[in-house]
Amino acid sequence: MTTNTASRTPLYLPMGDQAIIIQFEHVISLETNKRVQTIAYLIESSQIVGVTQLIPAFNNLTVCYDPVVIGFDELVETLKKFEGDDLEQIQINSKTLHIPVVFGGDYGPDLEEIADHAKLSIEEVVSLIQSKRYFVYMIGFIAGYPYCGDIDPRLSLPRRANPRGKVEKGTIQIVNNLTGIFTMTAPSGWHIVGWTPMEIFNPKSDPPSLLQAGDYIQYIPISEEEAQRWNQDSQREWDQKWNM
Amino acid sequence: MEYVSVLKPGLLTTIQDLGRPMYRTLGVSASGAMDPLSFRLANILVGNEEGEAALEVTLIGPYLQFHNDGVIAITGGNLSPKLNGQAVTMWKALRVKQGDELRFGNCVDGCRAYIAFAGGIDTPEIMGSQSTFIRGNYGGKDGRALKAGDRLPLGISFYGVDDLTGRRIRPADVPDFTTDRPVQFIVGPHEQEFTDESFASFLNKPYTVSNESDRMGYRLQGPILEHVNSPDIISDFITVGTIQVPGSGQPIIHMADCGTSGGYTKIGVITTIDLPYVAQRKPGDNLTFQPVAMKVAQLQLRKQERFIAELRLVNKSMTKLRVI
Repeated sequence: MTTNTASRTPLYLPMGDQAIIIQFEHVISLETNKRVQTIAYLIESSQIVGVTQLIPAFNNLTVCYDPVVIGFDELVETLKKFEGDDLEQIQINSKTLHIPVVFGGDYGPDLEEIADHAKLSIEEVVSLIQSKRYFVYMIGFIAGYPYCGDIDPRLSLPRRANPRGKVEKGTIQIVNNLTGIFTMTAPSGWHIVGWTPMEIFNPKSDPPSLLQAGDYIQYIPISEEEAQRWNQDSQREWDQKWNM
Repeated sequence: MEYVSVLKPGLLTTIQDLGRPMYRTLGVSASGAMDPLSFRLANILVGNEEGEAALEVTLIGPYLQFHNDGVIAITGGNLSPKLNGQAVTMWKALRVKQGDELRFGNCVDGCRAYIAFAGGIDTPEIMGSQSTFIRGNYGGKDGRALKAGDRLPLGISFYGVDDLTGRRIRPADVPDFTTDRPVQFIVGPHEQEFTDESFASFLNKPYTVSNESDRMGYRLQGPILEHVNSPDIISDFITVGTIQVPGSGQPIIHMADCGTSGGYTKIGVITTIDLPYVAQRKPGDNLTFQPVAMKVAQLQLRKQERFIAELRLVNKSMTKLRVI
C-alpha cells in the first residue's frame, strides 16, 4: 500500500440521497482507521438530529441520515465541525477476542504455498500468524465478516487467481495484509490457513456478531481433535479461560 | 383470518418487511422489500403499520387460500391477480372470505407484487426483522421462499373488515411501472474514476437488465465503462441502489439483499424514490440513467414522505376500532 501524504482534511462525498461518506486518505493503515473510528465515536456522542447510522470502513465513514429531517448541505456543515478535533488522541474502549484455530492440514490447504512464497517452514508461518493481535478494521461482506490486520508482510499474497466457489463457515484466511474469519459458507479468493469451531456470528443472537470495528482478535492454536469435538461446553470453558 | 395456506408457491414468494438496515454496521444485509413504496402502501391500505411483514411475489405469483374472513391489498407490479377466478383491482383493500382462492396470472407490468394482510404475517423476528434472507437461511418462513403446503400465520387487525374494505390509493398516486422514463441517480462518489466518454455514454445509452439479476443485484449489459486508473478501491460500504462498476465495465446495481461492502468504483446511487422503478424491471428490460441534483432528489423524497404520512393519518383517524 502506498502512503498518501495529501491533505489530512477529509472529503465529504454523496452516497445517494440518504448517506454521506467522510473520506480519509486512500490507504489501509491503523492510523487512518483509528481516525475513522474516532470521528464515528464523536459523531455518535453528539447525537445529530437526523443521523440514523454510522458505518466505518478502512478509510472512510458512511453517515446515514434521514433527508426529511436534515439536508445534504446542512449535514456536511455540521460534520465539518468534527474535523478540528485531534482524532488520534481519543482512546476508545475495545476488547480482544481470542479465537481457537486448527492450522494446516485439510484445514489450511494454502499454508504450503504461503510458506514457499515466504521461504519459511509451515511451522514458522503458523507461528507468525498466531504471534500477534489483529485490529478489526471493519465488519462487512454479508454476515459480520471481520476485516483484520496487519499480518506479517512476509505472508502477504494477492488474491487467488481462481477464487474457490465454496469456502466453509469458520475458515481462517489471509490476503495482502489482512486476515478474516468466514462467518457464512460462500465463495472466496483469499488464502485458507485454518479453521475455527467458534461461532463469531449467529443471526439468532443479540448482538449477532461477537466483534465490532475497533476490537482486536488473536488466534490461539488448538488440535484437530479439539476442533472436531468442539461443543457448547468447550466454548464456555474457552470463553472463561480466554474471553472474560 | 388466522392463516393462509400456500397451494402453489410461484417463482419466488418471500415474506418481507422493511428489512434490518440498522444491522448493516455488523455486515448484515439489509434485505426487505425490493420496492418499498408499493410495500408500504399495501400495508397502509389494510390498516397495518407500514413495516408489517407482507408477501413479495416475483414474476409468477402463488396460489393462496384463505381460511378465515379478512382484508388484503395487492400493490406493485401487475401480475394479474384473481380472486376465485375474477380479476381484482390492485391498490385497493379487498375483502376475502374463508375458502377464497387468490391466484396470479400473466405479468402485465413490473415484476414484483406485494400482498399485505390486515394484521400482518406473524413469524419470528431475526435481528429485528421478519424479512427472508435466503442466502443466510434466516428470516421469513424458515429462511426460504414459500413452498406448497406452507401455512402463514396471520396477526390480529385492529380494524373491522367493513372499515377497511374498499379503501384505495387514488389512481393519480399509483406509481406507473410501465414508464420508460430514465431512472434518476445521484452522481458519485467515484465519478472521476471514469473517462469522460464513458460517463457520457452511461448517461445517454440504454442498459439491459441481464438474466444474472436477482434480489441481491442487477447485472446490466450495455456500453462498457472505462476506468481512468483502476476499477478497484479499498473496500467500503455499499448500499441499496449503488451502481458499482467492476473491471468488466458493466455496471451492477445493488439491490435489497446486497452485501454491505464492496471493492469496486461506484459511478452513482439510484435515488430513493426511483429505486422502486428499478426493482420493478425484469431481465430483458431496459434502463436509462439520468443524473439529478441532490436538492431535487431530497425535495422529491420529502414530498413522497409527506404523501405517505397523510395516508398514515387516515389510518390513525379511523375511529371504528374493532372490539377485541
